[in-house]
Amino acid sequence: MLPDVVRDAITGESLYEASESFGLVALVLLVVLLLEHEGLRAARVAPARATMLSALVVPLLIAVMLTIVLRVTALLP
Amino acid sequence: MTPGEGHSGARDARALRYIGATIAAAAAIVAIEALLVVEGHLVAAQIADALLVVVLVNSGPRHEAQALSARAAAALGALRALTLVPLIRVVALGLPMRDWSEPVAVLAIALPVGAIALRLAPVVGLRLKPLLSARPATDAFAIGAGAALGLVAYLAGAELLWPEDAPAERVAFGVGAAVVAAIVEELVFRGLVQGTLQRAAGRLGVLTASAIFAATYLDAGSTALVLTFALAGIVFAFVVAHTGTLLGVIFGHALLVAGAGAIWPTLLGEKVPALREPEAALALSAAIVLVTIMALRRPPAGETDAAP
Repeated sequence: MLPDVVRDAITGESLYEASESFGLVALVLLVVLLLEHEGLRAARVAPARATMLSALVVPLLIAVMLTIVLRVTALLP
Repeated sequence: MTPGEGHSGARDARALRYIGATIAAAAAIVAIEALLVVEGHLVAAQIADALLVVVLVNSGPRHEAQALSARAAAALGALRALTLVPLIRVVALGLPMRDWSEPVAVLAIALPVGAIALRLAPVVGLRLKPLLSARPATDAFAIGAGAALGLVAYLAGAELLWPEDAPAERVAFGVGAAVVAAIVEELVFRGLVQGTLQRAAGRLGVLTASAIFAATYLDAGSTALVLTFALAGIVFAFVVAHTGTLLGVIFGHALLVAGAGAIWPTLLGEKVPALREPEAALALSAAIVLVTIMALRRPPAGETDAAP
């Protein structure tokens, strides 16, 4: 579930470095999946795929929201 | 040729296309897992995983009302189930876990992924109730295999589930998180991935699912440990293929992880002479070949001889 190589990579970088590389990829994937979900919902052609997309975005959303919260918190005095 | 035969031929061709795409996706996952352990290629691996998620999500007919044969529907389910594997990696790398303890980080990945697996099961055509039913004889075999492989993993140098001199509550939390991760891995790899691949491609599907599971452990630490997890994957896959239930392998996997990282070190001491690498790797490779041959000789439940 969490290989050492992944854990070491994240603990070896600052929050800013990790969020500007790994976090950015997660953010872009989240945006792509959300756009696609909205497209499918509007077209009403593939309900199974829309269900799948709505499930897949949840962990990405958690990761991105946590990153944003931590970055904003780091700005506070 | 009658119009009915034409439709049937098109559906068979689509089933073959989906099965081919499933095998290609599985190969891509294994390749990306290998890239992940090559130093300095983590971002490339994460981008490849993200692209694979987008490709897999968009697999299948544009209009779901189109009729699919049973095998095409199964292969499409397998393609969708495979999406979870690259997604786990993208999420793990995207989480800001720098200051988190390892059990917290593991739970932060395992719990949402487990929830998704439960939600996706009906979408990929699996029913959860039969998957979680008990089969005492084979469940006991899976639990025994998990305990034995836990001992092998401990002797092969598996890491402790807690830092040295940790308080009891931290030990319990570490073991609990590892057990939750084991349950989620079984749900994803033996439940969704193997369940759908087996329906689509029979024995080949079971072996493909085992290869994907083994690839996710390429970073386990030593050749003997990687082979131990690969052997565990094949044994558990063999059990699930013939019983159709996950309960025994869930307990077996949990016992493997808890045994390797907690129970055996407590009983036998935290540092024991590790298995000698070349001999252990050879013995484990022979065991993998043996179990694979056994798995190939006996068709999984529901497979006919005509299946690939």
